[in-house]
Amino acid sequence: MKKLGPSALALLTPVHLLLFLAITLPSLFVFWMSLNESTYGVEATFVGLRNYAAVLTDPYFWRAAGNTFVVTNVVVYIEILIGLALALLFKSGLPFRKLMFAIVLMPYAVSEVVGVLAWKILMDPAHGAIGRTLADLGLALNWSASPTQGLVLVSIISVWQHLPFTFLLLYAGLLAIPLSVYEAANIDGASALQTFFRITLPLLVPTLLIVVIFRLIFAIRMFSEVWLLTKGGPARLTEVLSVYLYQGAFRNGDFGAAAATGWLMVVSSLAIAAFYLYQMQKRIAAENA
Amino acid sequence: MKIIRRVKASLAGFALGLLSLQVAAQDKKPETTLTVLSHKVHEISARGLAAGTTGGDIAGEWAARNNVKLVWITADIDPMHDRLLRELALRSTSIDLAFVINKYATPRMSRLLEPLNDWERRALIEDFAGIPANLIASLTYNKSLFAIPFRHATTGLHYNEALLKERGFTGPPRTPDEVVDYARKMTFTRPDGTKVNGLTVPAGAGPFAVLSLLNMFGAELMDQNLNVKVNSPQMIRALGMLHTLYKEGVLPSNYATLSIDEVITSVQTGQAAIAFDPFARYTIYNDPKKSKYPGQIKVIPIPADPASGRKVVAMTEIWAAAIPKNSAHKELAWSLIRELSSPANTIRAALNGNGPVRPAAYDDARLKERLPYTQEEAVAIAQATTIPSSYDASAQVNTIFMEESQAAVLGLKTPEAAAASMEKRIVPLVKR
Repeated sequence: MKKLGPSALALLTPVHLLLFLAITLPSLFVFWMSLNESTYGVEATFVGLRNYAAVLTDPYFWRAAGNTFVVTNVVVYIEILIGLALALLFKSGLPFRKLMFAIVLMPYAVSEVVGVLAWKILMDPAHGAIGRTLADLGLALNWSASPTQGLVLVSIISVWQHLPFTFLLLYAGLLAIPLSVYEAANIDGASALQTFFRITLPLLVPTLLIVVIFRLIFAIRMFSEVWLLTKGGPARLTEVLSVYLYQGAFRNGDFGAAAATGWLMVVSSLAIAAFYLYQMQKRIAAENA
Repeated sequence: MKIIRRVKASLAGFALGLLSLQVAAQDKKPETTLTVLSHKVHEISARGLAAGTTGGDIAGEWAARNNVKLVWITADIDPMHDRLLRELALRSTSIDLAFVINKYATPRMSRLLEPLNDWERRALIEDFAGIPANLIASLTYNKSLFAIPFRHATTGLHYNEALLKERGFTGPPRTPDEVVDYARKMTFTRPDGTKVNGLTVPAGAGPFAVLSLLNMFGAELMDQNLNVKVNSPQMIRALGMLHTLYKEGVLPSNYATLSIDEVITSVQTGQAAIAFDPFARYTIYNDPKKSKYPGQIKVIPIPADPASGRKVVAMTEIWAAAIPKNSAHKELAWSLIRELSSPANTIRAALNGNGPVRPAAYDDARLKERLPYTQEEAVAIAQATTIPSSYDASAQVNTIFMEESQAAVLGLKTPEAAAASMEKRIVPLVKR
């Protein structure tokens, strides 16, 4: 591996310093806080791993973790399926492509809070345009009373909000596949399905892995969809991990337990990312072999 | 020559003008910025910002007299207190004056606020004795007064008179059983297709309004001595009643997430016939610009169970002005508190829509004339109780109450199980 010279190191230093100050240092502070009992206006007291033990034995944490696991997986994989379908549609040639592009990207241009509140108003079972229409059709979605339906609506909103990100990455990945491969498949007489499963999908796997890593990490941190829609209710049944953390820190003033929850979230995100990064690394190594 | 004389005279006048401007600038002290953190409602009542109110800009006049630039930071109740607690934990804060609600006024917070006893001795609040002693006591820990009451929000029973007439009622309900009966009969679909819920309450916004509703059946979270009363036959009966009303569609289907704004909209549009909400909501419910029923949304005190020996029940929340210990402008902040707390300004703020903490304000003729609901409010406030918060886990207890009561009302738990679980979880927190 080529060694970095002093000028390269000097150029890299500001970025690393910034990352250290903005990410590493606060993370270390949060870790230190997770080992202390801490609240507003009171000196922190070292308690070792007691906060981790308290969080890990709290049934509400496990319920929030379960909800996060289910919602994250549903959202990420549905988003990839729709994003892939859209990307294929765009690649195959679509009338009014620019207009359609703008429509698909629109949710990304809307502020997350505004987007969720607009959905909340539209889906209000009594007064909302969509909520009332669904109720009149006999398909009432009572998301504020039923935890399952609440999480379904959270998933729908999350998919709607983040689909442009997934779509853009997958579309870029599709465009990067050389046309000559498709021409060869055409000459060999491959059907559309064979072309998709034998050419498009295998060549898109690196992009898919990146999409999965990013979206899983983002989705694990999901907060505004749940907080603005249900605040984790009814009866804390739709709580996800970041809402559990927020309640602990800013409602109960228990910063130690909240910091421990934050670190547990970081560790689970790292574990998921590590799995997918390992798969990527293995694939790259196989290709280079 | 004439021209030269005129030029000389003009120059002399100009120089004199400059000199006087300089003297004036030297006399005038630089403007001080005083930052207030509160709910929007405090700014509205202290500054007369709501259309049609007549109390005027009390804080603005004080600021002009004292060469102060007032910066008002407002937020909803929970985020506002989050911000305040974080500011209080810092070495110094830009917040000079904050309005705190009693449910957050825990011993932990009080330790971070300036003790006001000495300030009160040095510069008296006019007719301090006119503020009820029980309100002052609820803002005192270890003999240290940490906030001055400014506003009360007391729950009443709001009803849509037009809708009541439409269903054949000639007056509002006068007993808890009648409230339930009315609410059931007021749940209907109007000829224009509007679905009306007989009863609504901002159940997603916190325990206050829900507890008022439960209180009508004699149920309470805890008494004023912090004895937890949540697992009582009254609570079980009340939760059971709410569950039945929810199943019957009398309470809105989105009961658990109902916000204050959603309740306001449903009352203004005639989609709710009866609402349990603070008296002061009267103005907004009857706002001719926003309400379909201006002047027809009336409010009365919540009727009590005749067996209880009381005529009405009411829960009240107290907002009080406090000075952070780490504030840089304590003197000015105290001066503004004194100004806002005077008997005359209490009435002016009430004319701006504030719940006056001085009972004498209710005798004011202007208040009687302009805000008729205040006479009903005076009846309610005489009986009102607060949710005690003189323990640090107050916010946690509120969360537990919300969780368990929602579970019972929506049918996720039996009322018996919810009440037992509340008791089991709340008692250790209160006693800690």
